Amino acid sequence: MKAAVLVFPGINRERDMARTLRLISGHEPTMVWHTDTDLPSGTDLVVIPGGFSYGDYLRCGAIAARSPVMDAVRGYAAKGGLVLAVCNGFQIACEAGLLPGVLMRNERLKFICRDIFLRVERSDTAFTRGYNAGQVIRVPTAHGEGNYIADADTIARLEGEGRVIFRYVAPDGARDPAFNVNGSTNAIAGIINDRGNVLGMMPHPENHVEAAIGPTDGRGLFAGLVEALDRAA
Amino acid sequence: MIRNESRITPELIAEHGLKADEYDRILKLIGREPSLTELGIFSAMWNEHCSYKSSKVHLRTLPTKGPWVIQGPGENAGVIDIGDGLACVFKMESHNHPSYIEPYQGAATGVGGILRDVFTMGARPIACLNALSFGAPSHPKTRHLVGGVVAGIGGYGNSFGVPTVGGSVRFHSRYDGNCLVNAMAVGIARKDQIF
Repeated sequence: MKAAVLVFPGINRERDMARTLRLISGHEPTMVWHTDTDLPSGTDLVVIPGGFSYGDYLRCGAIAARSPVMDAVRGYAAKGGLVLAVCNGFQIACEAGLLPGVLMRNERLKFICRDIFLRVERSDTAFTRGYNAGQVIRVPTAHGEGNYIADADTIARLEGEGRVIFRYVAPDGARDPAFNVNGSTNAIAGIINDRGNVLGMMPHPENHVEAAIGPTDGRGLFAGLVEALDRAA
Repeated sequence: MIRNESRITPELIAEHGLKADEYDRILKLIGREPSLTELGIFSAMWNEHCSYKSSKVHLRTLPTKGPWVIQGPGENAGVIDIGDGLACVFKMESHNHPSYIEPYQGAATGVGGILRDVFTMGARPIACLNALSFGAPSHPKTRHLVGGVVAGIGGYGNSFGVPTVGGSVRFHSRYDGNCLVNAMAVGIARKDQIF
């Protein structure tokens, strides 16, 4: 794996992400500054990490989405390169047009910082091959704007094409409005683009990978990515 | 010299929160009557929030020396040697009256100011703490202050990705007229990379 982690002013989860990538792939990721106009040659995974790029001013992710490096990421994604966008990264990916929809203020207007449960809807993507379809994983979440919204046609298309990858559910995997923490449409927590190479998700799988700290349910995503890239190589 | 557009009256001095003896000290310091702007500057810089004028005498009694003290009072933040080539960098600040006037921004900038003090020493902030004192729960301002202060502390900490790991809260009618908002930030730095 030759991962590139994007760094914007105000991003604060890039070290967690780099640590997890190093831990699971055995390779040191490259940190890429937002003013760079090229990705390191041979990059096979771009990660847009979480944080508060540009202090969330204007709209979450709106300023970062217009950074020079994002042109390179759009070009890379258009050629089928894998992009993992987490939390603020998901917001940036939506603002950059890599994914449809937008992340609005949480329905209950509060910042949410706690573990939640996700149902993995598909295991046949590069991002989720480490899980079984229908599997429930426990991962942390920390955001004020994670309420996924899109127009009815887009939602119908996402659902019809099986592009909803993660959903907020009860611990037993059942859909339950009480566990849809931020009020997202159809409890959507993560989606992929139509080509299946760009994943955006609000929760933080990179923070649940070490038994010394807590659950390790996030490992599957990174282990699956390593496997997918090894296969492709 | 800027000419005074308004006369410096005892009422104006009182409005600026300066006592008669403090005003005399200003006259002695600059050797003339201050302009309105200068009076405003003294008022801001000599208030409790900026100069700790009444608490300084107590703060001076706290221990600040020891073999593990890398940086005592005087710089942006204190630095303590914690071994293994690492140093703990920390800062505590009160943001009492700013929070009483505007609870969200007052408390948020209290946290932001000390996070800045910690990272300007070359450390990465890892934790925040706070100690809060509000007026009686039944006092009409209390609910407004608690909500705003808690949201302000959380808002700035969340933006930094730094957790608030502990603190204390108390309510007493003696704080009806001014709340206490003490915030603390802790960071870790390599001992040889302190600015």
